[in-house]
Amino acid sequence: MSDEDYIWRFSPCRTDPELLETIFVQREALLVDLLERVTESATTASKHHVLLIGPRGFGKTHLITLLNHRLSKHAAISDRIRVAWLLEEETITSFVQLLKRIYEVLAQQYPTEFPLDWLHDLLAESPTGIQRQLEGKLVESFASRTLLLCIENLDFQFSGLGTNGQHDWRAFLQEHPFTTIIASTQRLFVDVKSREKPFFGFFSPVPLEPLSVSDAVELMRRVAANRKATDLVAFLDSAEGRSRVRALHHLAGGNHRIYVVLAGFISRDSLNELIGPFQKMADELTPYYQERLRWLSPQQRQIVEHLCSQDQPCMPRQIARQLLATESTISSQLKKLLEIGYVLRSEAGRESRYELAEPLMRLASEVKEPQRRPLKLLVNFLRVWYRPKALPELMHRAGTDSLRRHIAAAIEDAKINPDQQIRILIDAIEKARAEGNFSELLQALEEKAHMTNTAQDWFHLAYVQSEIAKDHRSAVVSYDHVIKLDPGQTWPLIEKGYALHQLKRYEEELACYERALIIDSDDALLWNNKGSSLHELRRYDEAVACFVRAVELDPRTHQQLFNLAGSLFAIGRYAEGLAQLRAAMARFSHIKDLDEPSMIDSLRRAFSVGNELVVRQFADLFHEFNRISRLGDGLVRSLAKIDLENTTHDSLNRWLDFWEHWGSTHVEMEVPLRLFRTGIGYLIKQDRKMLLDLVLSERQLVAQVLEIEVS
Amino acid sequence: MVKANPGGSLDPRFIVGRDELIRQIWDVLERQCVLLNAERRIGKTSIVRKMAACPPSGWLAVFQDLEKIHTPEEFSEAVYRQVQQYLSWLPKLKKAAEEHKTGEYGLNSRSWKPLLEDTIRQLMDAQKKSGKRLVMLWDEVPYMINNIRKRSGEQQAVEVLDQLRSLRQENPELRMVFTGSVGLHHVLDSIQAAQISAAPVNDMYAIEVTPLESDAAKQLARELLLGESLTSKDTDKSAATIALEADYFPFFIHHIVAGLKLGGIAPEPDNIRSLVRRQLTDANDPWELGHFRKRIPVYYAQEQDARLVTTIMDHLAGCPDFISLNDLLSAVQMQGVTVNRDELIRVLRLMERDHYLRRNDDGHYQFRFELIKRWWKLDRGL
Repeated sequence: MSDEDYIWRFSPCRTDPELLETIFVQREALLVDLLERVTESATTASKHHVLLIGPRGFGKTHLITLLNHRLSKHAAISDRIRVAWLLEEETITSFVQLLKRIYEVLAQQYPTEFPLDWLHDLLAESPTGIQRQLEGKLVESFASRTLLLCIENLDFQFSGLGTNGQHDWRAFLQEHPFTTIIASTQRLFVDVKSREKPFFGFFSPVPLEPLSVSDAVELMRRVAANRKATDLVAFLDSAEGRSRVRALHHLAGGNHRIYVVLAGFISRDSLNELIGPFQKMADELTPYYQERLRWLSPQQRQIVEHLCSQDQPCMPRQIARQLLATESTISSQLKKLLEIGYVLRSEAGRESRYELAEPLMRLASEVKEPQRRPLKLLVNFLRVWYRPKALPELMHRAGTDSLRRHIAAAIEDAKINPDQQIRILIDAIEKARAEGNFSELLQALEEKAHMTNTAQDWFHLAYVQSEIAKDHRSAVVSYDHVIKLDPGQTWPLIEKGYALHQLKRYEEELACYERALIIDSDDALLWNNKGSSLHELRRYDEAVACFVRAVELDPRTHQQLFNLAGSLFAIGRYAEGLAQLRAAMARFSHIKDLDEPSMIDSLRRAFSVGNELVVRQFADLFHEFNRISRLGDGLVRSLAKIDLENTTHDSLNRWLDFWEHWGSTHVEMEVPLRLFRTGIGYLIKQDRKMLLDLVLSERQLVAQVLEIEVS
Repeated sequence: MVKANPGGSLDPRFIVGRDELIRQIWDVLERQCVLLNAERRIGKTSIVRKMAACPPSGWLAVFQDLEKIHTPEEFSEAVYRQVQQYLSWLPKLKKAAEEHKTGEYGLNSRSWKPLLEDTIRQLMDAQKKSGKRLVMLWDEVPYMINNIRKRSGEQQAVEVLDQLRSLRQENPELRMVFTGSVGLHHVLDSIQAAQISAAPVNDMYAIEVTPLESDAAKQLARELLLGESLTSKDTDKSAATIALEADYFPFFIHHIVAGLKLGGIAPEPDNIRSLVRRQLTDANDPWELGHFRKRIPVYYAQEQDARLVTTIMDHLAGCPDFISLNDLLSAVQMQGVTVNRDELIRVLRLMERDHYLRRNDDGHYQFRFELIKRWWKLDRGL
């Protein structure tokens, strides 16, 4: 792998920016927004100041690197700005030092404009003199340009500057507004948050969101693509791949760096190959989390350490009892921890529960555990990575004593705690359902179905695919799993038949009902559905027989009665059809879901051979039972059923004339007739301009029926 | 088109709704100096920056942020440099500028008072010759006075104020604008009363910077929505909702639009209201409104005063309308606070000065800002 191909995990700014572009996920809109802000700062007297807030490894440097990279490609803007980028290792303790450091960085980047010798000569003067000269030099240099100052770990720089340094800097920025600042910090800190401080409200804060599972999959997919690991890319597209990323997400949260570190081994099944990188990652990150713990007061540290030891969110009174403190004290400290991003709070009724905002924080407290005790994080990793039944088998393959101890601990844990993988998925499903995030819900359901392979889980998946996502094709595949796992049931066959009906795959639909009727031949619904699929296949005689059987089995349900009328019309048994329809309408006056368009189209064929009377009687029935609005609606929708290849223009015009005449005495038909007239006109002339006679909402309705696009 | 820029510095061309106030300030400056009062982040710096960028004919303006100043010497030197900048803009007075600059070599050794007096004398001479008057726009004056008090002692802080007053009296053409985010009265109160010979700024005309007028706030919201390419079903309605929810504070208008953009939220009225509600109830208090509560024991150091302030705020938060003094007196007494009418009036005056309250034409009281009232109710669970 060449330098250009290497992703620096802890120093993204050293990575080739083009490579950073290829693995950039989730924040394109934010980056575009930052570019617009810098552009506005460079081209007007306005100056934006942005503070990116996110824990370590959240991609802050990645974002700033790409900002600079894109700016460098924008010649018109890059000429108007000069960039000074203070990296996170900088230590500055006064305003004059800050000015000096900015100058030095500029000198490295633009040596002719900011000669380093000039600064060296200046250093002989007093700090006040140096400050004044540097201020003057910068003001002069930026008379017609903007300084883009990128500062990482702004909280540390502010702490070094102290209150006086901050006042000096703010006064300078106010008096000489040529600087736009893009800064980053791991947390919102008092120097920018408090109204008492000079930089209160100075920055536009941008909290960086953690990666979602989908974002994490996408990031790992891009890393894999960059490494030309096509197997890994394919694996990440599978339900199992997503499931493993979800397991990592449970352990590590939405930290970008974790996924870049772990992208290489996610598809590996060899335990020894998996554990090595995981332990290495844990080892690399431990000092960081220890450092973050050290930032806290002793009591806050105790609370966080307690949460590290717990697998579930905790209530303040539980923590208080363990730490021998009052509940009010613990609640107050938890609120502070919430404010500085160490914990998350969820409400359960009146109770608040708290958990770690960054699950890997456990690393910091685990190092205190006795050396020989299994690392809880590693045990958890084994629990989320493998199903409980796979753990004993792993024991045989474990290469070291240490690994065996960890697997043994995982097996013990599995005896008393539920399957972690399933629990993670159930949590994800509940969360997605509560948030109405259906794409996430579908993915989690799919992973769970693959994982458990139970009829129930496949059915849940199929139901959401069909009913919510309207992805009937996928639903058919999922129902096949249900049928395979539970072959003695009729309901999955019915549901599959419904999905196939939506896909207009009527032969396969028919096969479903025929198979179900072998299981239960006395189910009226199955006969009715079989009749419907036969009707769609234009096997009307057989359809009539099915509907008759359905009515015999269940005369109280409306569907088969109306369907029977429809099929009778279709085979030209109009008198029987009308009688059936009259009986059904009389009995089920409230029913709305009969298929008027199909019936009307059947009657159109009767009309074309001169049987006008039956159409009139049909229409009169709707009048008699006060259903003219349904008739009007059905008439418009029947436009979609007209078979133009076997219909003459003359017959269409006569069909229109009939309805114009019949409808002239029924005011409710006025609007439907206008739409019908336009639709017939379009069918004859095949010209979309015909639709322009209608107002937009009516035009859209007719276009929808005729399946044509209108502007 | 301009993007939302909460906290950043604005191009004077993009500062909306302040032209009338600026005209009023220049008008006052024809006659006397100005004390510009404002809550923090209400936009006073934008106002003085616009004044400096576009002064009317016959005027020049230099903006200076004084929060970095800690001693009378530093202050005197800052004024010297400000005047030097003014002189450098007047080609006819180049000689005077050079002569004046020669004094720089002795800056460190000279006492601050003579330097200040000498500088102002130079300025007055230059003004007479050039016909161009200078207004010194001094931001964060209370910070500076407080810094001097802490570093050099109360006496020095008082002397700086006295000296400035005396210069204003001796030089009727001298013009300065004081601004500051902390009320100057708090700094003065902290200096022992006996040490201040007379009210040191009562010769200056006090102008309060208020939030924007309704139309200007809507215009700002509309422009920012446009600048951020945020489209809604009814832009005017969205802009009006933003203006209202932000209580016409330009800072919060910028924040709301930035929040909509950042969150990828469609700027529909319901979404805007929901965003603001989240800001007001967020545990992190992103708009730092908790400051209005936290500063009470600092501003009102006597415990009974602090308690009285909280009781008044609690009561007014629950009242939809303005409340008379008598009703307010009864209400606080009902809450068990022992206070007489005069005491209450004294505290109410202070609360007005600190932007908590305002009085209507009938002399009745209510919260100064509707947004703070709304937040107070939520925060106190009223």
